[in-house]
Amino acid sequence: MPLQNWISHLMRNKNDSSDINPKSFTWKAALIGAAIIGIISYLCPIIEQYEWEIDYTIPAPPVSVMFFFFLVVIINALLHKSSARLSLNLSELLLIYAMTMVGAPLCSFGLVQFLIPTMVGPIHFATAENMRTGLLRKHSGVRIFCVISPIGLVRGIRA
Amino acid sequence: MIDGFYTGGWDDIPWGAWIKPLLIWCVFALVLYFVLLCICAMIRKQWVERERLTFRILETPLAMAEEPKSGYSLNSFFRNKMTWIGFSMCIFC
Repeated sequence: MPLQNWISHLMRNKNDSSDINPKSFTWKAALIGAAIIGIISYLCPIIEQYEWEIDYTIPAPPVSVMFFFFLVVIINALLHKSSARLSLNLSELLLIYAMTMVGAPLCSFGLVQFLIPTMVGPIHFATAENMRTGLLRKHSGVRIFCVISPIGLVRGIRA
Repeated sequence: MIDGFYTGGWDDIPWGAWIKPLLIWCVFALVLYFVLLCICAMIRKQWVERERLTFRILETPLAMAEEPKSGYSLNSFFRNKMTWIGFSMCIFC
């Protein structure tokens, strides 16, 4: 399903018939997501700090999240054949994905190389063409906090 | 505590030494995600309604979690041979 259709589904009235379950938060999905975050938090420092093998969570999207989500979906498909009641629906699967995507960068270099720089992305790439400059201008406090002002840049160069 | 990392002298994790940095990092993470949520609230309309970004980072999980067609146990993503070739390359190579 294209993402725009999915967002439209979420924005619909809850009484409207939809193929996506509006009850996206369930404890079953939250526990599975928390367990995966625990596994990733254990593996990431070992792989990144000790083994120095791969950048486990730095690339976007994080490799570890995709890998574990892949496994969860495969197990869920097998579980769905045996017991549909125990299997997870689309909303629960996306909750697990969102939880792990949020939790994975915290325990690795992804925190400083991927997550924190994301904050300034919309402002850094603001141009007159995409009209983000005007959007962010009214939040002048954020603009000053996130980017170097031209005056500050000149002062830095002269220093 | 640093000596223990080099000499391996720790039998148990010294939680007493870790609790303060852990709490500080938890507060930092909460503030970080709060800031990210605020930025999302600021730019949501621009990205979703005006620029109509496709959010590619969500395309793959949506394709993975798609309901299979009737008569099939796996959806089209997992029935694609290229998926399993790519998965095998990552796992076995």
